Parts: sequence; C-alpha cells; structure tokens
Amino acid sequence: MSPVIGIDLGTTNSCVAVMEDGQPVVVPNAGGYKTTPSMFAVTQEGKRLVGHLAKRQAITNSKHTVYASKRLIGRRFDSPEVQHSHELCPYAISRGPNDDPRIELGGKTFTCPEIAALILREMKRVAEEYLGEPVRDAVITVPAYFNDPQRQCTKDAGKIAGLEVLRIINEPTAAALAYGFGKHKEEKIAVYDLGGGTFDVSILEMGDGVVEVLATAGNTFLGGEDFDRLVVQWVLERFQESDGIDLRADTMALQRLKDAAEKAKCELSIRETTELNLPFIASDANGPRHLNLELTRETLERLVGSIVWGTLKTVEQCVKDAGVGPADIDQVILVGGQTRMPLVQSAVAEFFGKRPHKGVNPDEVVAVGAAIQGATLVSDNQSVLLLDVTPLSLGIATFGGHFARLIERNTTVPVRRSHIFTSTRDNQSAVKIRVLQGESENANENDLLGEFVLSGIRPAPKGEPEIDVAFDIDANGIVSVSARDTATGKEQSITVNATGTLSDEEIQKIIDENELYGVQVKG
Amino acid sequence: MSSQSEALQGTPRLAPGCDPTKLALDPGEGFLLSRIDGQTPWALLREIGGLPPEQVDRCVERWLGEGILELRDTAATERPRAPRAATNDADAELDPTLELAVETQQRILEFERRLSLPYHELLGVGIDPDPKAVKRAYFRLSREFHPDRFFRRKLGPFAAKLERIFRKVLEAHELLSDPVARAEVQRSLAAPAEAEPCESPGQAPVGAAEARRRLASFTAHAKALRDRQRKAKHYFETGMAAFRAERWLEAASSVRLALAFDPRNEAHREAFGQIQLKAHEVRAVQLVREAEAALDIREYTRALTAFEECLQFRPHDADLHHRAARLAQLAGGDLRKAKEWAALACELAPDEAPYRRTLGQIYKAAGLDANARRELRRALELDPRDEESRAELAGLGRR
Repeated sequence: MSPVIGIDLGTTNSCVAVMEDGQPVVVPNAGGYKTTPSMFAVTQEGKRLVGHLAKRQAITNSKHTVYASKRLIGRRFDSPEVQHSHELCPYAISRGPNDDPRIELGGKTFTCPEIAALILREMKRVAEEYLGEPVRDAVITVPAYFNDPQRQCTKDAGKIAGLEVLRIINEPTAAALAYGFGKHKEEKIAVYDLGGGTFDVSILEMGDGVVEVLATAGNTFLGGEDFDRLVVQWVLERFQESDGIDLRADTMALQRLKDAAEKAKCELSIRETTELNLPFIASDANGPRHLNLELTRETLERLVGSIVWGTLKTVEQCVKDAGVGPADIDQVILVGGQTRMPLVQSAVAEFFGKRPHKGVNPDEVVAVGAAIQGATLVSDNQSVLLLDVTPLSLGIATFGGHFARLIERNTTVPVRRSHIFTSTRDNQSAVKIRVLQGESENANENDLLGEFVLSGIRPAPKGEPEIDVAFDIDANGIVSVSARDTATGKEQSITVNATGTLSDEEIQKIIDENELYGVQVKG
Repeated sequence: MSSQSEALQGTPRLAPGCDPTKLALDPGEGFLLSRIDGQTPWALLREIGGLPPEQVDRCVERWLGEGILELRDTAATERPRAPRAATNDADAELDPTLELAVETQQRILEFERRLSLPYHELLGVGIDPDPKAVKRAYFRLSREFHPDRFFRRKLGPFAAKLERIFRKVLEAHELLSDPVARAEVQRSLAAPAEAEPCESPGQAPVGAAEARRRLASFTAHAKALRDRQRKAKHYFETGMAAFRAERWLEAASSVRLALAFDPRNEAHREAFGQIQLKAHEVRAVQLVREAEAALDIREYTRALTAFEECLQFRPHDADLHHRAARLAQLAGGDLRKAKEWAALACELAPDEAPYRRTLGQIYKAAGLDANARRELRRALELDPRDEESRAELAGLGRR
C-alpha cells in the first residue's frame, strides 16, 4: 500500500509528514528544511518558483510573488478579508467570474486553489523524493474555523495537485492526535494554535486511543502576521518622527520592513533586545537614508499585548463550550510559530494555571497529526480514532431574515438533525430552503452554502403545512439537506458542500493545463 | 419493540384447569382475558389489550396473584431459541464478499437490534451513571462502530447500519453526559406535562425543540425504568416475606413478578431459582394429592391434568411419568402423550420392567406392533417372571 502523507498547508509555511514503520516522520525538503514557505512566484523570464526559492526573490519580484494566499482561499472577492489583502499585498488581486479572488502573476490569472495546489504539489514532491515512490493519498489540515467553501477549495487544490484527499482535518485536532499518539491516558487537553494567519483553540478529551473534540473556536483573521504588522506600523512611525519620511507608499520599503519586523519578532523570543537595520531604505534631497532602530521585548509586548489577551477571550469561550473549566485541563499544547513568543506562553500558562506541554514541535506537530490520521484511516490496525466536530453551526434562513440553527457548532459528526417548519402565507405552494453556515442570528451575515425550492405544497392556511427539514453530515463531512412536505410526502434535497469557488469543469481544465507546465521546484 | 417490553418479559397464559367463565369480569377485562393466548407477551398486551396499559398491568398482576394466569418466563423458555432464530436472520444478511469480517457483520447486526434500548442500557452503564463510565463506554463503542474504522472499505448495507449505530451511541452519550439535560430530566419528572408549543418560522428555538424531543424520550425511558424497578423491589420484598413464612407458592409468584419487572437483577434471579425449587416441590406434592383424590372418585381426566402439570415440576421423576402414561392409556387419553411419558420413564429408569411393559402396551394400543413386540420383549428380558408382558406378547403373536 502506498503511504498516506499528512500536509499542514500553512498561511506562511507548510510541512509534510508520513508514517514510517509505525512512527511519524517529518520529511525535510532538499534544502534540509522541515518547513517550506507557502510562497509561489513567477519570474521575469516566466519561470515558476515555489517555497524557499520564491521567498528569496520575493523582495525584488514582489509584484509577482504570492504569499499568505490561504487568507483568500474560499472567500468571495467582496469579503472584508480579501479587500484588506487587496490593499496591502504587492501582488494584484482581481475579481474572478465566480466572484472569487484571483491573482495576476506574470501575465496569467491564477485561482486560489491553483496557488494552493502549487504548494501542495511541492509538498507531495518532497515526500516522494524522500520515500522513493509515488504518493497519491493525503490528509490536509485547515484551521478549525474554516467554513465549508474554504475546506472544499482546499480539497480542490489537492485534486489539482494530483492528490486524493482522504480527509480535511482541523489543525488543532491534528496537533492533539500527534500528542495523543501512542498514549492511552485519559486526559483533557487544550490546543492553542497561533499560526501565521489564523488563531484556533480546541478542547479535546482522549482515552483508549480515542480523541474526541469537545469544542473548537477561533479566528481566521488573526495570526502572527498581525504581530508583524503592528511592529511595521511602529517602525513607520518612528522613522517618520526621526527622518520625516513616510514609507507607507513605498512597496519595496514595506516589503523589506515586513521581513525585518518578522525577523526581529522572532529574535525577541530568545533575546531581550534586537536591532532593525535597513540601509538605504529611502532617499531624499539629503541623500540616502538608513533605518536603524532598537526594539526591546518590552516594547514588542506592549505593541501586541492586546492581541494576545484578546486570544484568551476565545479560549475562555471554547473552554465554556466544552463544558469544562480551565482547571479541568490536564495538558496544554502550543502550536504555530507565534507560540514561541514568551508573552503568549505566559498568558496561556496563566489562564490554565499550568505550564504548556513542551514535548511537541509547534511547526511540525500539525503535519505529524495529519500523517497519523491518514495512516490510521487506511490501515487495518487502527491505533487512534478521531471523533471530530462540525466547527460552525448549520441551519436555514427563516421568515424575516432569521437564522434557524439545526446543527449547533461543536456537534460530533456523523450527525442527523431535523425540525418542522411551516408556511408564512395562506395557500403558499412552495418554500425556498436556504442552507447557511455561521454563528450570526441574522441570516444574511452567515455563509450561503446552497439553496433549493420545495414546491407542490397543498394549499392550506399559513402555519398549517408541516415541512420536515433534515440536515445530515456524514463521516466525511459531506452535508446534505432535505425538505419533505409531511402531508404529501413530496421531498427535495441537495448535497451542499460539493462546491468551492470552482466548478468541477474548471478544476479539470486547470489540471489539464498544469500538465503542460513544468514547475520549477527547489528546496 | 418498545422499551417497556424489555422489562415486562414473560408471556401470561391461562393456568391449566382454570375455567375463565367462572370469573366475575367486566367486558373490558373479558376482552383482555380473551387476548391472553399464551403467545402474546405481556408488553404487547399493554398495547392490544383494549385497556390502558396501567389497567392491563393491574389486571394481569391480579390474575397472576389469583392463580388464573401463569407467567411463562420468556427469558427462560425462549432465550435458547431466540439467539438461534436471530442468527438465522443475520445469516440471511451476512455477505462474505464485503470487506468486513463476518464476525464484525454479526456484531453490527446484533448491536443494531439493540438500538431501541434505553440509552444507558445501550451504553451498558447504570441508570444514573458516573460521567467517566459514560465516556469510557462511548469511547469503547466508538472504537468499535465509528464509520472511520472501516474507511474506504466495501461495506454494502453495513455502511448505513454503522452510521445509524454511531449516531445512536452519540445521542446516548450526549444526553447521559450533559448535566443540563440530566437536570432537565429531573425537573420534567417533577413538573406536569406541558404541551409542545407550536413552531412558526423565524421564532423557533430549533435546538431547544430538538433537545426537548430527545429529552422527552430520555425522560420516558428513565421514568419507566424507575417505575419498574420500584415495582420489582416491592414484589421481591413481598416474595421474600412469604418465603420466610414458608408460603412457597406465594413467594415464587411474587418473585417471578419482580423478575418480570426487572429481568436483569441477578440477586432476584438467584433467589427466584431457590424459591422456585421449593415452590415446585410443594406444588408437585399438592398436584399428586389432587390427582390421587381424583383417581379415587374415578375422575380420570382431572387426575390426568394434575399429573400432567406435576410433570413440569418433576421432570426427572420416572414413576410419575409412568403413572401419567398409564392413566392416559387407561382413560382413553392422548396416546401420543402416553407414549412420550412412557418413553421418558424408560429413559429415566432403563431397568424397570413395568415401564417397558406400559410402553409396549401403548404401542400395541396404537397398532405399532413391531415397536410393541420390541418393548415387551425387553420387559421380559428385564423380568422373566412378568406374566402380563408374556400374555401381551402372545396376544400380539396371534395378530
């Protein structure tokens, strides 16, 4: 049997792992690195670059280098997140035919699943080189708070990359699987996952090889890059004060600043002070200007403190959703590079009243968990079983624009729930079922997953017909919704999450096109 | 079947020799009595007996107490048969071409049949279980039945069965481990029943309605179970008091009722076994006395009925079987039964010449001459001085 690989497709870095002789192994790329930047670039000459190579030329070729495209995947072009990136990113984002964001690179337009596929294909190649055999099956992780279109787009990306995606699992869950692998203790654990672009927290219970997700919460708008942005802002202000120059309009300078800010932030995890040194950052009538600033850990903590404390609100909510208290948690696991920051560690330790577990590598643990889940699914001798939950509530829109939840968030799947609805007008002959996902009471603020019409309802005064609406999520996370008129037995149903932002035909077209391109890949 | 049927195991039937026409019954009770055919389980009578279930229970209990009815212990008499029947059913559904071990298929079918059990029984925990026990049971069953355990395998109809099982296990775990749901169960037990509010779109607290529905089913389970356990306890105590007073029959009847209400109570079952032995002996002595009294006044049919009943309590009594066989033959009763009893007597005591002779005589009466000759010769072998057998044989020779 060919091995199943686990891929952590991160906002800033990606990682791949595989099970070898019953033990998870993180696969290093040709350069010896265990993580690969989630970056893709097209050079002046039309060459395609992925990973470290793309990152190295990012400053000089910023208009044609994509980073953090995970923030765009599965979203609509008009969403605030895409608009936010549109303003900040040096690369061009345009509106696609399906209202999805697309990226212009080297004269070609890429969809977000295509960009993700290029990174996934690189991870696949890294694994194949290590294993010496072709790889087909994969488990890919996503932030717990990804909604159905975002998950579907990630799945589509896998397909474009030539992978059979066995399962999409949540990053914190994967981390818990990695932690729980080979342990048979009964424990409740908390996973605090602060990555480059997203923040997730999950509470899990494990015992006898079963890992049960009790609750999950998070924020797909918050991550380490927000820390960098605050540092950049602080530097911009300091530089304007000292040199009177506003660098905000200078994309080249901004890119350099961003890199320097990230580097400084990382250094401050082990040192008390660091220097930002950017010679020739600008020039004016007085000649070239150099940026030279000292940043202390104390200053950094003052800048980002509100973000860190803000994450604890989410943690608190999650612990509450799980029906436990902070003291009931036996282990706290930190995932994501940003959790290396001492302030984050101390804040989490203070909340739970215990020091976080040190035994896992925050950059690799998610890929390891994905590999474990992949191997477990296909093997006969299963060491772990994951009881996963649906992270967002599902329901339908009702009269007056309200959202009626049928499946609450954090419900273990597979699950089936039904509820009786009725008509709102006399002799109403049809009802429109709009399937939504989200947490807002207001239907319009939630994501529309699909809609269908149940017609042929027998004429009756309003409030009299009984329409039985049933939601069903199977073990693979596929949602189907049916509506049945109990009087006539007439039924309509749809499978709702089969659509990302691309149609099947579009995906196939991309796959065919990619056959023609050789992708330049190097470690 | 409903959950009540699980506890109300046992099938009532009319006690032998009881003439229901002599009872004073109202038409409703008469109808109920007419439904009691020795085949319909108690639980089903509650549904088809024409009276409210509580009244059905009261009537059946009263008649059991008055000796009009007997409760056949379905647990004892049908259990050995039931699994075989079940296996046959299962065999029809088993499919060796699936990527699922046949044992696993059997296990899935078996568990699927248990899905209507109350939640705590499904998980195999107590009625008021410790959250840790619930969690362990849930994890154990998840490991066994979660669809992911059989990922990508060809499962045929078992895929849907697994999902159904896992969902039910999930539901059981959810309710049994949710302190709020449990508190609500307690509250709803105390509060009067409340009509389900009418739902209209946009205002419906959907989750709440769903939770209410499930709570209601949970509440019903819990309440029914508690009621039954209370009743079982009452009958058991009554029974033990009677036992101490050496009123064996009364004791057996009460403890049998206790078991009917709480069939899983091992202590009751054990006590019942002991009481039953005593009660059976007492009843057997009584029946033999009845039979002999009937013989004295040549009421052969009545005597035979008493013997026949007595045989149930003394299945190893060769002499009793022999007496019943002779009586059946002499009184012109059922020869088939007579033959069966005589054969049993011979089996229990193979060296008794008179038993062989009786068996031979019965065969002769039935016209099975070859068999008759064989048995009569054996009787003569056992006792060469048995002139009666010799004469019978001689008579056969002439035929």
